Amino acid sequence: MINLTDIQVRFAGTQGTIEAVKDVSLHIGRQEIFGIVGTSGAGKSTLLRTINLLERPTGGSVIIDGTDVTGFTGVELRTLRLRTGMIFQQFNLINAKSVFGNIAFALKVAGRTKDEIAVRVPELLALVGLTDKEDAYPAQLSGGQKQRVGIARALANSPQVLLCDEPTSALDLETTSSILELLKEINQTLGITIVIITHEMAVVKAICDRVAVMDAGEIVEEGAVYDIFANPQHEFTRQLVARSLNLDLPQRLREENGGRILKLHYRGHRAEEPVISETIRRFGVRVNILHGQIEYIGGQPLGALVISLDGDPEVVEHAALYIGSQIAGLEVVQ
Amino acid sequence: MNEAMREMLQDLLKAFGETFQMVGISLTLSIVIGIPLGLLMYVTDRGLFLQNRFVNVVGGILVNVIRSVPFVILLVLVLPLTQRLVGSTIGPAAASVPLSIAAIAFYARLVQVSLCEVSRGVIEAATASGATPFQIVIHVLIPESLPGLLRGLTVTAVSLVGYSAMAGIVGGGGVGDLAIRFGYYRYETNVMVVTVLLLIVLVQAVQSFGDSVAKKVDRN
Repeated sequence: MINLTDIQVRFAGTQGTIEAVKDVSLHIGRQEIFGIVGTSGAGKSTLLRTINLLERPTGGSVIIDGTDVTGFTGVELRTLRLRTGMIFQQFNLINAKSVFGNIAFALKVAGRTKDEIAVRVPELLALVGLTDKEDAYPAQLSGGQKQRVGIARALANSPQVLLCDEPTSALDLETTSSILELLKEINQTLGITIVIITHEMAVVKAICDRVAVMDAGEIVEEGAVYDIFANPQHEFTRQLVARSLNLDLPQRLREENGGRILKLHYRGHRAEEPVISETIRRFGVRVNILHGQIEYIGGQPLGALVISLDGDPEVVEHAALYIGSQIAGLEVVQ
Repeated sequence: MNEAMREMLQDLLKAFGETFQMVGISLTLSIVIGIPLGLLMYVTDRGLFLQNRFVNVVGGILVNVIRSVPFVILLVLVLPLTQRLVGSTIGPAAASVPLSIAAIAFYARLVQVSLCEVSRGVIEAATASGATPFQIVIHVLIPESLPGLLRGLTVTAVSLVGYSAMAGIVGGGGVGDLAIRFGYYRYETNVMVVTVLLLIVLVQAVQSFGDSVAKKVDRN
């Protein structure tokens, strides 16, 4: 669907040229939700903007559906943009226009008639769940509602691709998940390819199929979301993943605990086996759960459990070995 | 006394008529020419959709040159042009030529400033929607900056009332001219006081009206 080949974006700054994007190549499949994650300043926003040429790459090519669009200008470029919706962190609605007016604008741009617009706008508002807000002005809406209008506007001309520039970064947690759900629904019901950039791993976990990790203008790692979380290869990715899965024990707990402390890593379907109860039954050790977090990414469990084992030292040793043989990874904390 | 009063009233009416004529013509022209000029200077600025350094710089210099010439000098400077355009250099219509030139330059700059307040993100969103530059101007830039455009127009109108006082130098007439002629040259303080008071009321009315309209269209 979208092929980025050796994309390079350079800015001439006051202190020499800045290379915002360095030779990035990506393939984004049809109907996929593709995440680009990285810290701020990593170049992800610039990279995203090369897809609809809001940012013209200084090198490389953007190929959409087999057509090289990198050199598009004028009518060709505007037609490309009609087929590519975009939503923004700050929503970017026209404050002087009502919700209806904002969405109507996108349709007017595509040359739709007044009658067509009058039919299409309510359809779009129903899709994003804002039917009663047609006459409201952006200043009267909450952040989540503004983003819904942004989504309706982006979808107005039935695009094949939706580009999302940090769509939930200005929203609270609850609103974030409702917007993400809406995006997922749109992806599934309308079959639209979604490219989403974010600095929040939680967003990636929630909706993306695949993800590319970007650092200092380069893609350092790319793969299925589950693999990236379960088995991060690059140091930068590890840091990002670790930050989203925090299992540090308080110092007090470590000191007071005399027994063995183990960290059990869960990955894949083996996480569903009753390891702990089986250990207690077989070895008669005392197990205390100290910390834990298991999440389901794309339906697959991933997480870790920190437990302490107490009992006869030799039996504890055997029990630990047994646990190690039953799960994806075992780490001895103490 | 009664006779003098009537005479003064007649003078005042005539003067107000002349002021309205001068301000009206210049204000109309500053909308018709000043808005496009301000728009042109804005959209040709760095990083905008019609970036053009040449047009931007030339426009900016033109506006600055006009604005840096003291109005009294401009009045005299454009006399040949006035003669060609109006066929005379005396009267309110003639005075409207330099007034319009000054007002266009002044308002163009205010238009540009108002446009700078429009969020670049909104312009980017419109560009991403596939809008043409013309559609962005009509549906984004003008509606988004309308409150600012109206406030700028109010400021321009008030300045024009002030500038038009100097039109007396070329026989343009108007309220300001009346105040100078009677109050200053003829020591008729009461006429001067009345005219100045009326000018205050006029300026106040223009300002209030402008503010209320601007507030009405402001959706923020």
